[in-house]
Amino acid sequence: MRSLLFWFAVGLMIFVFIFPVLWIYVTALKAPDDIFSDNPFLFSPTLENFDYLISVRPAFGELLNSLILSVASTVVVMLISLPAAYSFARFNTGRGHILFITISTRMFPGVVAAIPFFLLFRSIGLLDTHLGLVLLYTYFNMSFATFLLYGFFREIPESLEHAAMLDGYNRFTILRRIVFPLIKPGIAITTMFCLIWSWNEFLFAFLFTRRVARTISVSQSTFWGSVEIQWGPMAALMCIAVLPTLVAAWIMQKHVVRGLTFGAVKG
Amino acid sequence: MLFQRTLGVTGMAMAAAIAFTAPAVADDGFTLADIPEIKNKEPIHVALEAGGAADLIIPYLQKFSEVTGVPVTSESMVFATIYSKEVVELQGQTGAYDVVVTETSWTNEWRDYLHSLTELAEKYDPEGAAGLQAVVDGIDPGLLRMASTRDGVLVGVPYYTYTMISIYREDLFGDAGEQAAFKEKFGYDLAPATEWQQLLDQAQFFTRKEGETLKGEVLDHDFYGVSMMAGRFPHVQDELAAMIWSRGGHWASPVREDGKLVGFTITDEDREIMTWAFTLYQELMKYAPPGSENAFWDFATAQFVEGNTAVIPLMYNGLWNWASSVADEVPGARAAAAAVVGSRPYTGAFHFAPSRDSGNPEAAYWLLKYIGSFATQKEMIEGGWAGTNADVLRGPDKTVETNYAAYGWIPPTLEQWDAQAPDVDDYLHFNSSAFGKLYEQMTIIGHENATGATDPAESLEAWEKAFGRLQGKFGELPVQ
Amino acid sequence: MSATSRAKLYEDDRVMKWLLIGPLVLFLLAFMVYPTLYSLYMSFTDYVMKGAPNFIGLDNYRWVLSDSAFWEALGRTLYVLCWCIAIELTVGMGLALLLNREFPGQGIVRGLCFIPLLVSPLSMSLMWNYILHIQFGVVNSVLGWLGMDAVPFLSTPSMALNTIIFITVWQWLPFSVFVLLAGLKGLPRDQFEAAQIDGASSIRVFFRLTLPLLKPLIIIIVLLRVMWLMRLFDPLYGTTRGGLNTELLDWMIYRVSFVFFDIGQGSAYALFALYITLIVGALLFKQLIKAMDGR
Repeated sequence: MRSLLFWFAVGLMIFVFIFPVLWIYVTALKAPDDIFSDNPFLFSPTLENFDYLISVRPAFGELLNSLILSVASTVVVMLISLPAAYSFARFNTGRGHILFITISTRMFPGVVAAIPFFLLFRSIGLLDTHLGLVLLYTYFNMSFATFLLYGFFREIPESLEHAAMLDGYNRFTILRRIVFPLIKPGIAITTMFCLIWSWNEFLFAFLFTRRVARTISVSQSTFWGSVEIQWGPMAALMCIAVLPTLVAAWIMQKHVVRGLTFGAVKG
Repeated sequence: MLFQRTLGVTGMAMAAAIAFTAPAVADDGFTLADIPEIKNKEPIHVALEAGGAADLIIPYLQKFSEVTGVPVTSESMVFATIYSKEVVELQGQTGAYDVVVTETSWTNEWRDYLHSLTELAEKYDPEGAAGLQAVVDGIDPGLLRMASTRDGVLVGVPYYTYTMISIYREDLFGDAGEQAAFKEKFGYDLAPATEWQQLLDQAQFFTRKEGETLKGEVLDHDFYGVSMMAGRFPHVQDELAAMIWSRGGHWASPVREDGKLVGFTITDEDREIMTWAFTLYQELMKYAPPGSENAFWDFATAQFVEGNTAVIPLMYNGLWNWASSVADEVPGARAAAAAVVGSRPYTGAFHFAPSRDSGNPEAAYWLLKYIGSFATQKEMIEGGWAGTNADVLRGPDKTVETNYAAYGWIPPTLEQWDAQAPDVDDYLHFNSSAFGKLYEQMTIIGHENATGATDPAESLEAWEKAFGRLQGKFGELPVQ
Repeated sequence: MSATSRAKLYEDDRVMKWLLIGPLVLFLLAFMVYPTLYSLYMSFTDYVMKGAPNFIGLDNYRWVLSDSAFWEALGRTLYVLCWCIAIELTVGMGLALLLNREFPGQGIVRGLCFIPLLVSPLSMSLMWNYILHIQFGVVNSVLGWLGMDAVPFLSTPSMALNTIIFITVWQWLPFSVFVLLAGLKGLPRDQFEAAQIDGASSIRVFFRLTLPLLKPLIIIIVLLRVMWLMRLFDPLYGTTRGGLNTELLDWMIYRVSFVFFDIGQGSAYALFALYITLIVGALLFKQLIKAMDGR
């Protein structure tokens, strides 16, 4: 009985979480005439929306751009955030002030920051370049990544490092051999969030790119015109665009449970 | 929906026509082949509006590129944010877009960033300004005025129009039983409305509950009089403008000295008419289906197509194609288009305009001339496109009888253009340099009014305040 | 530990800690200070991204303070913020407790729970408009078959904002669930075993033991969510676009800065919002550090 109740609760939760996304897939299989109808479940599935995407509006370049940008910005974020988070956690650098400032970068409205960046990027030629977007994504993913990693480094007892130091290891060996393996789950989960957020980011991508560095999230918006919304193709592209994040999430899934502790609870 | 449908049926044929047949000899005679050697081979980049509209334009860009040897690239942008992106690029003077897609009400705002077409013609066209004139002559004069600044400088070629028309269920209006019932109740014949009160009567008359009858058949769902677009989208402004203009009023009237525009003022007559329009809108909302409070053209038209409303009193002609498919969705139904009440609908167009920061205005000019030419417009219109060339639209084959779905919108559109052309010069939309901003504010005010958040008097007050502030801050001409 | 190696360690560290943090600080200087200073400067001008900025003193701030639309948007944002956090914490805790056990297929269940975090919030907002539409939405179709009246989720002022809350919670609930679940998994077992031997009821254990131990995590969730929710924007894009009494602070700032291009005024709004968030954030952060160190 209890287990029945448990599975009912789990089933309900999963249903609520995935139904809207499932509905995107259903919509992607609908012909235009079936988008607005009295019975949303009654239609004959068709692949014409995917066909349209491939033959009329291919978005391979955009997919590739998103991939490049997400991966590159995540790598840069890690290069910056990992050492910084270690410094915050081990040496309490800046006594919390710098850490707080880092976290607060996400508080400033993006649109307001976007315009000075636009003017700056125009003068240094970074508009519509991959580098420009990588820098911007690094900037806004950095804060959360540092905070998350900070928690993981906190979890590692300082004594462990001292002991290793007494054994004659130098600092880099300690970091590589002792600290790094311990925070692997943290790196995994941080990477995942950075990847997902860069992948889905719209405003900067829309404003700072034209065609060279255009991303898939911008492509997803191009089905909304002044006298027509192409629901089917839009849903179809959403279906495709969510797949890489799904894969990323699947790979990282086992770390998630270990991962999001922020070092705030010690077992 | 619209273009996908078009693309499926006629689009393929059209694409084939572009690819394999020689362009038809047309009135202005201008075709791709007439473009002289373009010396500047620098690539040009065109900003496009998102959706199926881009699909229809892109083949022409490619064709142009093949013939002239100038590489053309394009970028389509979501409708909701296209204005912002283009403003950033234009005002940031990046030169990223050689040709910008411009809503007619943005013309005055962007005039500092756009080329005068006449100047370009004199510079690049062997026939000079006359060469340009021959092409644009076919285009409706009202639309041309909208694509010009208030000083009459043409900066763009309108290629796609959204003139509002009224779409109604012909089968309901023609039903003997309904006609008799209507006459008995209101004392006059049921016919497409020519006065707003008639529209209100019809809206009320056709609003029925589930279980009541329509055309003698018992309804299995609620039925409503009118489809409205009261969501906080630009369209609620368009509906209100049609009401205000129909009575000769303005959001703000022009002030002229010796024929020259020197400012704007909201007259007492404007106030009275605006209050009336705000009230009328609220009245109509009583007979609109639930959900209209957040609706735009998509859901409004869908309500009609699915057989839930009798009339869309104000809808863009580009949606006729989809709206007319009510005939396939609802047994016995048929749509018809009529001029909107007062024949002064919100009329606008997207025009292509060459940016002053373009590195290749020469190619931009020829592209514009090509897109606006009779032959191109003819192909587009025959592909289901709401083209701007009145000469094409007046063609004897462009009738409801020859193609109900593709041409049904044409007769009322032409009728309204003729009626409205003399008034266009007085509309705030095509004179104020702050209109991109005013539009946003009108959207908010119109939406708040439609949902009853503000009463008509408050809506008017909000508009007067906002207009004074925005025109003062972003416009060039004063409020008097 | 010998005195020499200890000294060596610390000598190293003083340089080390700044070396490690260097790239971050450089990045912060370039990417945070620049737009903030730019906005601060512009907030005293009438710049509209055209012509030159003119100094107009405190006019923009005066306008912010007297603008009822701003205060209404702020009020709505706080309303959404409070409800979202309250729901995400309570329901999130419930679901975390539910998932905090070993069961067959747990990996798949957790993976599926992650999905809302993955989809693009902006595209999703347009999808929500469709799914929740009163006439053509699948939710109302199903409700209709169950004999219920259609619900105007996104088409009446009294409901629209709550629907926005629902959409936001839907997207972000997994975040709270996973943070709390991670916390539950990491709790020290011995204390719980002791409590069980004492015969304490599970409700008592939860309130006396579990909750206090999870306090730092709860503060973290609140802190992060406050920061993100103050800037809530995406769910409005394809749904109401600020209509039907749903205009939130960030939407308003978007409108002023990115439709009106009133850079001066937009900056004033933004900085005002930033101050509020900073104060609340700093208070929470202090609590957090206290809670984390207080063990």
